[in-house]
Amino acid sequence: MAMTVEITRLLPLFPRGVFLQWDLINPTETGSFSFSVYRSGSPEGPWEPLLLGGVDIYNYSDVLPVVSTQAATDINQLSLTRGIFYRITVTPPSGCDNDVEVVSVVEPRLEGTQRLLKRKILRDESITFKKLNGVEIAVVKRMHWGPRCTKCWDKTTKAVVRANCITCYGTGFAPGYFTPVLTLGRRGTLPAAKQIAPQGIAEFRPTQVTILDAPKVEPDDVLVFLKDNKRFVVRSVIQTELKTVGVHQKLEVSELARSSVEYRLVVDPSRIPPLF
Amino acid sequence: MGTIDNQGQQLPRIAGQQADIAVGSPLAIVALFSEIIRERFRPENGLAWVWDENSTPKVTEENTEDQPRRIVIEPAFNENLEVRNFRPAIYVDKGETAAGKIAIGNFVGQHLPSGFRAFYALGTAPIDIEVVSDSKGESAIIGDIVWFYMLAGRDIIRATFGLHELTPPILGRTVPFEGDKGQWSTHITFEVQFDLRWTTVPMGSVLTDIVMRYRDSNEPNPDVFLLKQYIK
Repeated sequence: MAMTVEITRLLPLFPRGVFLQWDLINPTETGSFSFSVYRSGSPEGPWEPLLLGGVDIYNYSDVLPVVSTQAATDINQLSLTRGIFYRITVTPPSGCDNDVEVVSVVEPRLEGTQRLLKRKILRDESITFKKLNGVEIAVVKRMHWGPRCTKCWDKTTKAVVRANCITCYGTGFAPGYFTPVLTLGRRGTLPAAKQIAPQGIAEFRPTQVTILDAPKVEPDDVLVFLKDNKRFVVRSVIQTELKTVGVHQKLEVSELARSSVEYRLVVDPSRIPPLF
Repeated sequence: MGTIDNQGQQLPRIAGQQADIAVGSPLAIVALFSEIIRERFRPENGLAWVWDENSTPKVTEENTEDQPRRIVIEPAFNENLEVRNFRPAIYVDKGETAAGKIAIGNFVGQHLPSGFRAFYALGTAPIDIEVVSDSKGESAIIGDIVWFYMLAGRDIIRATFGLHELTPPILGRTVPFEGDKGQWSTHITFEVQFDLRWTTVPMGSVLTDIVMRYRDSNEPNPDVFLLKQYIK
């Protein structure tokens, strides 16, 4: 069996950080292993290095806050839905290839039978998505920390003054969203409702989307359905849990107006035509 | 659409509107302020938002003065607007029109021989301009542009369109509301006053006049008299 890294403990120390602990499975060499720890708001990165090349270190405390600067806003845990992802890489004593584990959002781990039960549930749902009713979804996670937009962010009022800014896509952070994560999910029916409002005829298309436990989705994240390029903003997330550990995510989403700046997000440029 | 000059009408109505829309009527007032605000967002004014009849965003839009973002400016509650959920947008609405008295019985004059009476009142209507955007900052900034434009231009607007008064506009708070996504709204409100004039002619004196003319005409058949007199 190949060498891997397994996260053995992930404990949030609200509101001041996260404790991580890991172990090596099937080490192929003897000697000192060095580990690197990275943090992001999405399992696809971009990653922010926290610890680089720590020798024989098997735990790490990510202590918040870090020092603030005028041009960037720190990560914090002052939100009920803040999702933080950690990635740990290991370099064996010989210095050859890294082995990587991507850690999902901070949450407890299941043990024994419960872990297998979760795995079975996820497998069944995954097969249903693949063979029956799943469609490709790009989950584009909104940034909640990082460098501020240099074009439209006012640091005193903390206001975005250009809702359609294509530097931050109206989030106030550059580049606004993390790298899209491709997954499968099931979209509910799309009711086409409209009502006369001061804004003329306002159209609403709320629906539900079911995806697996990863990537963890938060309100204000954007879902792009690659089949029809319809884009939705997440309004709320209901997580099915097994002993407090997430199994599925049921998302209440609303289709974005076609003039929304989110339609300019680059999701899959390799497609023809590219999906912007 | 060209620049507003109202073709020298000095009436609260945009020249060229549909014939059934009377001067000072609700659709005339709403059209007036919609068009006045569109003027402010024309490309030559160098704002980061530009009004165009075609609202489809350009791919080059950067929300800057040289690559401005399109903005929708329309009357509120417009059931025929085929652009939906567009932001940023400005919607113009008119509240209840009230006719205020400035003389007893609104009476201003009379022609004694005919009984012709003239009346005058001041029509007052609140105007509500709503600026909608996806972000609070943008809604507040566009709201401020509109507010200051109305404040600075109110004397010119009043004179150009023959309005009696246009009160200083009030810039409201920027508040959130829910639609297809979270949105922000800033209201600019003011009151507009315009002249209302009308006349009445008493029917009794008109009929007496007809009878007198008939007797003087020596025409034996009254039908023939009427045909000759009035149906020409």
